[in-house]
Amino acid sequence: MKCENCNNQEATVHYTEIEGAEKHEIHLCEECYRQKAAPVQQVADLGEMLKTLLHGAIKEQGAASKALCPTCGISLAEFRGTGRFGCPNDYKVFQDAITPLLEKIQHGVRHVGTVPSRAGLELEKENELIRLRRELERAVQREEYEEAAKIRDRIRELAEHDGD
Amino acid sequence: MAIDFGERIGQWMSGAGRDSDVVISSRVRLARNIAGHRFMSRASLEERRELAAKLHQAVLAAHVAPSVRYADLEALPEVDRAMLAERHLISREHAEAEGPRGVAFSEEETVSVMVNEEDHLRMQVLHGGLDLENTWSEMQGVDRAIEREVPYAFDSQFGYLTACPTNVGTGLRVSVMLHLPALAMTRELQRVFNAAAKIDFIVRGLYGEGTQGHGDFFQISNQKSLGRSEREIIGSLEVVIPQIIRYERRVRDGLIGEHRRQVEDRVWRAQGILLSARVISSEEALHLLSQLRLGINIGIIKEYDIPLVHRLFMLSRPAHLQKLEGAELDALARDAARADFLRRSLTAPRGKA
Repeated sequence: MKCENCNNQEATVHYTEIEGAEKHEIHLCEECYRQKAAPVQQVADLGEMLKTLLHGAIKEQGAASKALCPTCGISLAEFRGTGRFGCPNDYKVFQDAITPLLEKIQHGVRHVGTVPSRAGLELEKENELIRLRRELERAVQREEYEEAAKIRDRIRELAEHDGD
Repeated sequence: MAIDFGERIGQWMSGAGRDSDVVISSRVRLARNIAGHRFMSRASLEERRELAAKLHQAVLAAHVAPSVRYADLEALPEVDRAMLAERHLISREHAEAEGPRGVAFSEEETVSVMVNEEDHLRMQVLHGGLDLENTWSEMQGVDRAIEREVPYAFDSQFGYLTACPTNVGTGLRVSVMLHLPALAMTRELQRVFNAAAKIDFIVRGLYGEGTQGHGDFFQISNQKSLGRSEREIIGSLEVVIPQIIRYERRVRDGLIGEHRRQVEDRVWRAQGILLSARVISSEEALHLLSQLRLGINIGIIKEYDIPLVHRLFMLSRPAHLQKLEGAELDALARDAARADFLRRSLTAPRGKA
C-alpha cells in the first residue's frame, strides 16, 4: 500500500483517528507520519530562542560588544554567535548586557536555592587559574615548551593550595 | 573497549513505580562546572584532557552509588556510544561529540554523571514512575558527594554558573516522561501542551531537544533554572503532572466506554503486525509497542506484560539491535532483524518477561 500523503513511499504507519463518532483509517510512510501526523509541533529549540534574544540585547550594547573578558578572552559578539560563555567570570564581565536577557528567559536575575556547602576557590585565584590556562595554551601553540612547563608548575601550585 | 548489557535494561524501565500506567520515568538533572577552568567550548584540548582525568577520578572517589562504572567515550566504538544514548545514560550530543569525555553510571542505571558535556558535569538521577521527591533527594546526595571532591563555579547572585545562561542558577532540569496514547488519539494533546507552555514548561520527545513525540512518549520539563528554588521548580511539576495523568486516564476510560471496538481494533492490529511483519522500522516499532502498552494498561491485552514491552522498546532501538545481533547492520538489515526479534520475543512460549 502506498502512503496516502505522498503517494510515493510504501505506507508503514497505519492508524485510526477518532473524532466524535467519525473514524478515519490513516496510512502513511515514515517520513509523512513524522511531518504530518506526529501530534506535537516542533517544540521551540531553547538554543535558537536564546540566539534571537541575544541578537537584540547585544545590539543595544554597541561598542561594548567588542570588549573582551580579561579572564577567558571571549567577546560579547562571540557569545552572541554561540550562545555559550567562555568562563564563569563572563557572568560578571558582561553583567549589564545579559541582565535584560536573563529577565526574559528566566524567573529573575537572582539565584534562590541550594548553595555549595563548602567554599569554592577565591574569585581572584579562580580567574588567575583560567588566565594561566589560557597562557599555557598560547605557549604550546607557539611551541615555547620551556615557558609552557613553567606555567604548568604555577597552575599546579595555585590549584594545590586548595587541596584540589 | 566495549560495553555489553546483554538483554538487561535499566531499573527505571522496569515498569514499576507510582502512576506507571501513564508515567514512564522521573528524571532530575544538574549542570555543574569546576572553578578555575574555562567552559567546554573555550577549553583547549590539554585543558579538556586535564578535566576529564580529574573528574573521572573525582566521580569515582565520590562513591555516588554502590557500584559505579566509568566509560571513556573517546575510546568507545560508535555503536556503544549510541547504545548509551538509547538507554538515556548520556545525551545524543555527548555520544556524537569528540575529544576527552566520559560517563559514570551506577549498575542499576539510576545515576549517571556525564563528564565534559556542554558543562563539565551533567549529572542525573532517573527512576521509574512518578517519584520526583526521592529522585531529587538522591540527586542532592550525588551533588554533595562530588562537591567534596572538586570546587564548583558558583556566584552568590547568579548561582551555579553554566556555559549557557538557560541553565544558570540551580542548574536544574526536572523531566517527567509520559505515555499519552489516548490524548494523542483524540487530538487533545496540543491543548495540554499549550497550557504547559504557558506556565513555563517545555514539551519534548523521547530523546530530548528537537525530537518529536515518537510512539506517544513525551517529556515535560521546567524551562527556567534561575530565580526559583529547586523545591519550587519540583513543586510546580508535582502540581501539573497529576492533572495530565488524570486527563489521559479520563480519555482512556472514555475511549473504552464509547469506542471500544475502534480501540480494540487498533491494539489488535498493532499486535497483528508485530506478530507477522517481516520488516519493521524503528519508528514503527515504537508506534506499535505504544499501542500494545496501551492495550495492556486498559485490559484488552492479557498475554503480555509491561516489563516485556519495555524490554522490547529498548532492545529494538538501532544500536541495541546491532549489539544483540553482534554485527553492524544497515537500515534495511536492521528493519528485518527488528521484525524477527520482535516476532520471536512475542511468540516465545512464556510470552512474558
